[in-house]
Parts: sequence; C-alpha cells; structure tokens
Amino acid sequence: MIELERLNVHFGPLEVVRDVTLRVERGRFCAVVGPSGCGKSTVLRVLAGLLQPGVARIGGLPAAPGRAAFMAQRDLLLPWRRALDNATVGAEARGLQRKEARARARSLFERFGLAGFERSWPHQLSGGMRQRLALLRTFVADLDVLLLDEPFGALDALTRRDLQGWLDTILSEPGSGHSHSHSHSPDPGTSRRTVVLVTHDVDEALLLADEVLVFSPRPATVVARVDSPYEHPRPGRLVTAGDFVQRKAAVLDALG
Amino acid sequence: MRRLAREAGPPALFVTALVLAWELWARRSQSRNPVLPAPSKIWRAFLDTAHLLPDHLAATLTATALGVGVGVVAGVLSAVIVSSWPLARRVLQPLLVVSQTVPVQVLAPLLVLWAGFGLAPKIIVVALVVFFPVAVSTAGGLQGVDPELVELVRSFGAGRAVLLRMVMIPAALPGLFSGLRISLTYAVAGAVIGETIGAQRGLGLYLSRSQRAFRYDQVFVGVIVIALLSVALFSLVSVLAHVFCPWQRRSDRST
Repeated sequence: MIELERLNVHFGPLEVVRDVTLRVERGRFCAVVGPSGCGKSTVLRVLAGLLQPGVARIGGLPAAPGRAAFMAQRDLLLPWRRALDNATVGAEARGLQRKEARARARSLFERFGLAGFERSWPHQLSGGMRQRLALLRTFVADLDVLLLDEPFGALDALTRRDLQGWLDTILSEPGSGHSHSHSHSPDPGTSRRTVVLVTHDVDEALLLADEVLVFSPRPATVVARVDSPYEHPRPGRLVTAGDFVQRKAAVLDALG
Repeated sequence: MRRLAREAGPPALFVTALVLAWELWARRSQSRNPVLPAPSKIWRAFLDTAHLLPDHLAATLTATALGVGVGVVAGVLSAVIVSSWPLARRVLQPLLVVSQTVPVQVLAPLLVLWAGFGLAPKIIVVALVVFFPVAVSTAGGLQGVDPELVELVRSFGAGRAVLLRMVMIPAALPGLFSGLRISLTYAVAGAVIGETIGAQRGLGLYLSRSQRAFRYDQVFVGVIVIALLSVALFSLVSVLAHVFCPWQRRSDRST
C-alpha cells in the first residue's frame, strides 16, 4: 500500500507539486497522467525515496531507497553488464547474493521474451527488449511496489502497444508477486504487485490502471480521479469500447 | 593462418624492403657516413652486446613498471578527488596542467640532483609522465557517468560501496586504460631519459655509453630494444583492456 499525504515540493522559488494526496491499495494499479513537465516524475521520485525521503509511506514504512522498484523512461541498463547481470542489478543493490539473484533472473528470462539473450550486451538488444530487461530488473529485485516513469515513452507505437498488453498479462499472472509470496499467500490474487505508472498516454493509463489520476500543469495538483474498473488482463481492443471512450473523454476534459 | 598472412603480409614485406634498401644505401655510403650503420652491422653489434642487454632491460623495465604503478595510483586518486569535490577540481586543475608543461628532459637532471643516481629519480620521471593522461581520462570516465544511472542503482537501496563496484569503477576503467595506453610509450622514454643522465644500469646508460664511444651501431641496438619494449607494454595494456572491459570489444559490436 502506498500513501502520500498532501505533498508539496519546491525547487528553489519554483513550486513543482502542490497538495498532492495519493493512496494506492495493495495490489492495485494507479496511473498518473498530466502535461509534460508538470511534476509527475517528481511525485514518483518522492515515492521512491529519492526526494524528501520518508514523506511518502510504502507498506506502512517511510519511503526510502530499497522499498520500491523504480523504472524510468530510459532503460538505464549498465553497458558493462551482460543482460543476465543487468537483470540482477536491483536485487544485488538490495544485498542479495549474486548467485542467488542470477538464478532468480534466469528463471524469468523466458517469460519476459528474452530467453537466449542472457549473455548479450545491452547494445546488442532492440529497444523493446532493453525495456523488457529493465522491467525484468525491477521484478528480480522482488519488491511489492513498482514505480514506472513513462516506461514505454521512448518506444515506437507498435512496440509500445505490444509491451502494454504484455505488462498487463505479466502483472495478472499468479506468480507475478514477489517470488516467494505465492507459496505463503492463500489467495494468489493478493500477490499482484502495487504499481504507480506515470505517463502522458491516456490510452495507456486507462488500459493498464485501475485508477487514473489527472495532474494539472505545474505546480501539479490532482484535478480528477477516473476509475478504470475492467478485469485484468485486458484485451487491446478495449480502447474502442464505448464506456472506455467515455472515461477517456473524462480524462481528456480534465487535462484541458 | 590465411588471415594472419593477409593481415601481416603487406607490412612485413614493406619492412623487409625498407631494411634491404637501408642496407644497400648504408654500404655504398659507409665511408662518408659512419652515423648510419648498415642493418647487418647493427645485428652484429646486437650479438656482441647481447649478454649485457638483459641486465639493462631489466633495470629499465623495473623503473618503468614501478613508475607506472606510482603514476596510475596517483592518477586514479586525483581523478577520484577531482570528480568528487568541485572545489578540489578548481584548486588542482591548474597545478596538474603546470606539472605537464615542464619537459622531462629539463626535469630529469634536477631529479637526479635531488634523488640521487638510484632508481628513485627514474620512477619519479615515469610517474610524472603517466600521471597526467591517466588522471585526465579516468576523471573523464567518472564525470561521464550518467547521473540517472546512479540514481536508479541508488533507488534499489545501494550504498556507496555497491555504487562504486557496480557503476563507478566499471565506468572509469576504459578511460584508465586509454590513458595508460597513451602514456606508456612516454613512460619508457621517461625511464630511458632518466638513465642517460645518471645510472648504474639501464638501456639509457647503454645508449649514452655507446654514444660516447661513437658506436652508432650499438645506439641503434638500444633504440630498437626500447621500441620493442614499448610495443610489448602497449600490447600488454591492450590485452588487459580487452580482458577487463569485455563490453568494449569491437567484434561484439558487429554481431
């Protein structure tokens, strides 16, 4: 569960975020849309504990590095690590033994469509593969909370749509929670990760999330909350459904 | 094998032709030009003094290796300091540049006066020569690290040590090696210059003795040995870079 009470952020004289309250229940997917430069990413960095650590709460604890898995628009793969060793970066940074992290990463390569590329260097992978590898890195880190900052923003439209559907599927799989939880948890449904996605793509937000927050231009405030109550995984053609289009209109109206 | 012949064939042919031309020309002008000995004469001088060379070579190699060691450590340290504190950069940068403006040939006699005829002045000369390129290119590598990369690794909870191991050291390695490659040839020359000014052993001593005895064939032997030593060290660094920076290999890029 993610809680953020009335966040305010100033960078010097510049007011970036004003009075933003955000609450995401465990296992829910929340998307934030807003005009570019409005301060969405700043909110995400607060949740990651990189900015004003402790102001947000993740699972009841003050937000700090190591509590949530963060993924940016750029894949940020380490050029000096092969694909497999890039997948373990988050887990290793959290203090997991490299060998164990590798075993965990290796078991996920197939599901992320990267089987056979374990020993490739990042520069040998396509944009879509690199982005999947970056997402795989957040999964191997084995954290309940995913913070995604325009993860598909740099991809071409076709690849982006592909990856959106694929992300929805992978999050809906029973084993998508942290790797050991589904053995303890009586209900596999509760092992679904808690996700905050920042995007400027309204379709993407409504297609993936359970709730969409619309931010105003800077300083960012929440101007609308739109539900997207469809069952996961969702078909890509949902974007053409009548009530989906109505929700999209609501979001677009709020964006102004 | 065929590839080797194709790659090494043309340069080998060219060098052979050059040596042959040199031999012919030197024999024809022998009486007028004692400063240019024929390759055959150089070869004989090499055989005559071959028993002396290992000792000299070992001395020069020791001075070079120790000097490179000191220079690399000092260079990496100042790269870390300069890229960690902006104030240190402002204070040190002019000093670093000034340290490079004094020619080694001018500095070496002074160092001999201060540090004696032993190994110390040679090590200092080599270290001075190696220090600057290593410091500059390592600092370049460290400062070129993508801040977003650092933030990402930090967001997973990495501390300073993990950040150093995962990001900073690998980011600095290619720069360190290219700085080392640039400076190595100068390093050997620096050690030799130190030895020509005053030494008990070393290729520089061999050179200056031969010169004073007007044995130009031996001078050429010394020059060739020094050149081969530089090439060998250069190749060694290339091999090290290849081993320690596998992501930088060219052949991988094309696949």
